[in-house]
Amino acid sequence: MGAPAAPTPRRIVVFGRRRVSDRIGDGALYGVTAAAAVTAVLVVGLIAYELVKQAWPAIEEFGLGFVTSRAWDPVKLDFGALDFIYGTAYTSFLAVLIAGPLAIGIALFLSEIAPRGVRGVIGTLVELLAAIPSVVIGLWGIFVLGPFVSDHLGPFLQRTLGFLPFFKGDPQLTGYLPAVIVLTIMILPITASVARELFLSVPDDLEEAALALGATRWEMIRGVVLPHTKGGLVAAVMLGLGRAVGEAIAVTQVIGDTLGIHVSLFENGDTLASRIASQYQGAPDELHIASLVYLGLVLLVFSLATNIAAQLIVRRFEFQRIGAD
Amino acid sequence: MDEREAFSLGPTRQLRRRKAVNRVMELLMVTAALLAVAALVLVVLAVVSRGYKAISWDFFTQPPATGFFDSGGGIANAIVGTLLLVALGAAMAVPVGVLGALYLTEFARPRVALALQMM
Repeated sequence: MGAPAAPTPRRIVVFGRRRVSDRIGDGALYGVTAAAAVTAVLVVGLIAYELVKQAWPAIEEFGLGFVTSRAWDPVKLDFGALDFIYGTAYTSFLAVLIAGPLAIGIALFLSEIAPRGVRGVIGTLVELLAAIPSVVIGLWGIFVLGPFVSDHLGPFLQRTLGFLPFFKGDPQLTGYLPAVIVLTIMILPITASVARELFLSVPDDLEEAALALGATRWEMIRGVVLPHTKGGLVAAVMLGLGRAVGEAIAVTQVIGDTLGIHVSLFENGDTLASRIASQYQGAPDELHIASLVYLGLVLLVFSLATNIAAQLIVRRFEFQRIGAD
Repeated sequence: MDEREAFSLGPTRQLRRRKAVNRVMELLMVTAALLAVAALVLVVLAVVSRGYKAISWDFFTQPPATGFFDSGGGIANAIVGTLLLVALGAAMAVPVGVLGALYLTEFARPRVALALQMM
């Protein structure tokens, strides 16, 4: 501001000397930013509204029973979501089960044990994995992963672990297994990079104190780094879960697009997002389209619940950590 | 236990075990990192090795061939479409996103900010 500062800058004086343009600017900034915030909320609200509106014929026809019905018959116009809910939950859960530990391992490697030179290179490469568009991973899933699973990985699992219900039946080009692998690759980088940030945020003092007491690096990680970042790690994994749940195209390309609820990873199935992606353009009937949108609504609830759960967990751990001090 | 071992300054059995555990864990971490890099290399290699033959100047600058059975042509329309989509999307999202974030950090009361953040 133009005027020289008063020796005892009381609040009132400072405000009194503000230029008119500043006063207007302040108000305008408040208005514009508030409008932007409201717009963001409005968009979410509009999407939800539009989903409900478009899905209404299906909601009226099937009600809440839609979620527990196994039918998907475009000829008889009988639709249900259970198979897709199962497919989404099963593939996402397995993908997170594999990607979670892997991502934490990668993040620990990058933040705690990798030499400086290696750190940058591997870190960049892992982040590049996130830059591969999902369609491209899906294509890779069709051309490379599918044949690999049906010719090598599948038979191998069948021979060695065939007694488990997960590996019953014959491996095919498509199915849950390729879908889980594709999802794992897709959620690995985001989970790993969030986890790495978390590990880097652990104070060096604490880590060095543990090492000075004679702990090995692993003991230091288990005793200091992991407890310090528990809450954040849960959130990182939930973030991955959210992405896996919502992923459509890459899954459509490899999961086989069939109805069914199977335990065996060699079987074909389908997920909520994948069914929407594969049928929306071909859906000729209003009720069919409405049912697809209803699937979308279920998906939205699914991912909102994941998100909110993640945030609540983080807050609880945060509280514990601060409370423990 | 004989006397020499009791006063030995060398690693005890427990220390050796702890070091072995440490080794195994470090190895697992390295393996995890290598797996991720392997996935990247595999995907990129597969795409490049299958796609490089189709790449030419025309591929980027020509629209697709019009007839159903005509081969040739390129993906110029898809490139322009992608650019348009990204540009328009960014033009709409960036102001709202940045200003919204400003509101969250500067003006909103904590409770409001929390609720907005959830959205």
